[in-house]
Amino acid sequence: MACCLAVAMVIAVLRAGWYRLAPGRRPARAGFAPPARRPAPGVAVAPAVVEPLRGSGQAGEPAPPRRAPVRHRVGFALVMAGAGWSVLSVLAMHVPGGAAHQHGPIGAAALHAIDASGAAEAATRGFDMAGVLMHGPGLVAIAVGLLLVLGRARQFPTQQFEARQPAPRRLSHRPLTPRPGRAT
Amino acid sequence: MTTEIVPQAVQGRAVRRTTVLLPEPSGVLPPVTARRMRRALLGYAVAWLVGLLPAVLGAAPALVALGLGVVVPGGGLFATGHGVWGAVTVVAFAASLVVWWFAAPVVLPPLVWLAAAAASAFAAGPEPVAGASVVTVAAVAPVLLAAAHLVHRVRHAGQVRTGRALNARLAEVEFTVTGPPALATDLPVAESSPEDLARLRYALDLALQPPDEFEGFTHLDQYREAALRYQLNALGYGVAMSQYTRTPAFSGYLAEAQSNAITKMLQRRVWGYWAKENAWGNLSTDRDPVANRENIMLTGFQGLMVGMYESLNDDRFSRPGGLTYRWSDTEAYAHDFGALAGSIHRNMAGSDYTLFPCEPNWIYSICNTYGLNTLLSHDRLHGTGYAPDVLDRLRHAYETEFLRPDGRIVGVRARHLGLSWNFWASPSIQLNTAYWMHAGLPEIAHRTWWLLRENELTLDGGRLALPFSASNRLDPGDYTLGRDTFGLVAVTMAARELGDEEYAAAAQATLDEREPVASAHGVDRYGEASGLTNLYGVLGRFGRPSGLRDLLNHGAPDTWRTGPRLAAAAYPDVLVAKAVTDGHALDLTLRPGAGPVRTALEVDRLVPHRTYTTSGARSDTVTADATGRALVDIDLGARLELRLH
Repeated sequence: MACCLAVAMVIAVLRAGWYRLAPGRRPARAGFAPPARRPAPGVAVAPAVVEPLRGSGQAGEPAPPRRAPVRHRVGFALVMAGAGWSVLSVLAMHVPGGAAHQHGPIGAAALHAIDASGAAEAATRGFDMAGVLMHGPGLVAIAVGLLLVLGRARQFPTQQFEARQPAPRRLSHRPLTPRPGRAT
Repeated sequence: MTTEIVPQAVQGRAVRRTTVLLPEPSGVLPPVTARRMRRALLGYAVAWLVGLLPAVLGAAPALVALGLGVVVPGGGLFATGHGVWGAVTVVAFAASLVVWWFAAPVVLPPLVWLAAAAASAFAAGPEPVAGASVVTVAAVAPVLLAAAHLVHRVRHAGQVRTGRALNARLAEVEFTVTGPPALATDLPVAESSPEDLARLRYALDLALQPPDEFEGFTHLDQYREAALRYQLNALGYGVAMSQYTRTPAFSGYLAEAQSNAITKMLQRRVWGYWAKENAWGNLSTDRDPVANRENIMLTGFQGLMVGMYESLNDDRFSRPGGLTYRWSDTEAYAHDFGALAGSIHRNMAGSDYTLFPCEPNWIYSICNTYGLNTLLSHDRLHGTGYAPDVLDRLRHAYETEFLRPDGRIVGVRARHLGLSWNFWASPSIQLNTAYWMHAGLPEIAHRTWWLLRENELTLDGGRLALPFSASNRLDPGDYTLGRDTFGLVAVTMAARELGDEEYAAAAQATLDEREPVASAHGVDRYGEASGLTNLYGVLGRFGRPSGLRDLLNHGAPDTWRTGPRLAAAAYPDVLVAKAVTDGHALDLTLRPGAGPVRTALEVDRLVPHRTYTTSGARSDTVTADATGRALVDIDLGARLELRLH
């Protein structure tokens, strides 16, 4: 507890920023546990019973939105990271001293590929390996991320909460009604 | 520090009155930290020189770029004109440091650093690297280090001045350190209010689930404050404290809840983080969460849960294999309370800081207070001498390596590098540390609380305010910003434990007045706070002056451990607001939790075959069976006092 509040604060700031960008992804705050029950002593009953209470646990409150599965989250992260990488790689070509200026073979093909003459040149000689290394990862990450996100999106709405039935149990007591007498 | 021991007739127990000054620092850095920093600097100096060699020797540009990449993260990229990628490297390196701090993957920062260096070698063109670039890159680290040192000296000097000014005031302050309590007067057993019981039920419902179910818990990550283990720790502490201060003569579902919380800690999903952290933090495939040199965030925290449980209930977790951490059907680590305490003692004794890490490399001062508390309870319960063996060294470390000259506790230090972060020293950590230190290092706890009260907390009209800062408005239980609920809860804990009821009551009143309450099926919680904060709220609510200190150092008196006890009751039908024994009689105060009910209570530890007189029950007498047990029938429609004698 409070083991490392400073890093928790860093995480909190990052999360706050993230949820500003993607407000729908904010997970619901945990609520109550299912109401527990323990029988009165001396009454034969089923083992410990916990009544089901799905969702946040607050009476009358709808269940919180299901958190996106890991695959979905990884996909989303890949898309964002890939987009970031691609933007940076394009920026790197254009800044003074960037790839295109320093290393013709590395950046030139990619740079030229975005204008007409460059496109022709690139079409003629293709991208060199450095260009592929610079721009490829971002595009691949976006593609893989989209596959993960969209692939999951098709299945996600069909998933339902698993209905959990309470374990059968006997009442541990009866409200103010006579009960059989016992030795003590 | 001056000390005067006086028996205090009013309280019935001996107390020690003492003055506690801030220590005068011996230098700008504490000795062990200074050694670690010198060693780290030496290592870096070697890397710096090796990195510059290619440039000095006129090597090929790729090799020069590689070397400059070793000199400083991104250095090779900057020097060869890839400014954006150099900046990306710096950002990535900073992020890797945060991740290292978050979950201890020690390989990550060097990996980013060296990968960028290697990339710069590939990115270097045929042109030689400009001399000015080499000089600039080479100068970055020395300049930054010199600036950091200068800033530290200036800050340190200011803190020394502040410390001296505080010492002038502290010299006039007398703190009261409580000694062993007297049963008749110093172990008050209060009655829980309906609101107390509603808050307790929040913890009970969480704990009374089957061991592998965790509904209602926060599920975000298993590394930091939102991890399940910290919620379980807080749950165990809060319920144990409620047993100690309200219902020491009741086990039943209250003991079961504590036992469950401890048992849930044995689930792989709770402790399995260690396998990963040990792999990427220590490059070790050993998964054992106890037999290692770190992980006090488990051994200390869970050990304290067990110590509190065993002080009030039974010794099931001290039996061989009582704490078995199962990884799979074929892999398990059988430990017990003794193994946890032994691990903590061994690691403290073997660390030159005395304090030792939670995550690989990262030493947290507050985590080690849990470790000390585990040792205190284990020593008392099992006759070991762990705490006395390390206490002086621990106190010295807290007063030198983990204390700023102005009295603020340093929350975290990197074991190998000696580094710390000043912004970590926020009131929230001071509050929590003061609370958990009170059992073993009461002088530092009292002084820390006094400093907080004098400098940080504002009392106005019976309400309490924390300084307005981001760290005070953090809920670490689910990493949300905006409310100081956690800080106020920490005030209730610390103030109550240290005997400052005025502040505790003000903090509680502020919470009651301001915090929205969510209710469901008779259970209350702070609606805008995490589970962790709510569970520590339970601990603060059920605390009392020296409650933690008494429980860990002195435990339950024999009369509580041998006298008649309420052993079982229906939940939530029967809520136990008070249960106490004087060794012969049992006094209960009960409230219905699910409407009027006719039900039975099981009482044990009676004299076999003896007939006891009862009041408040359906019959006037009950007779114990051959095992000293009896069932008592009651009609419970409202608050009910029941006496058996």
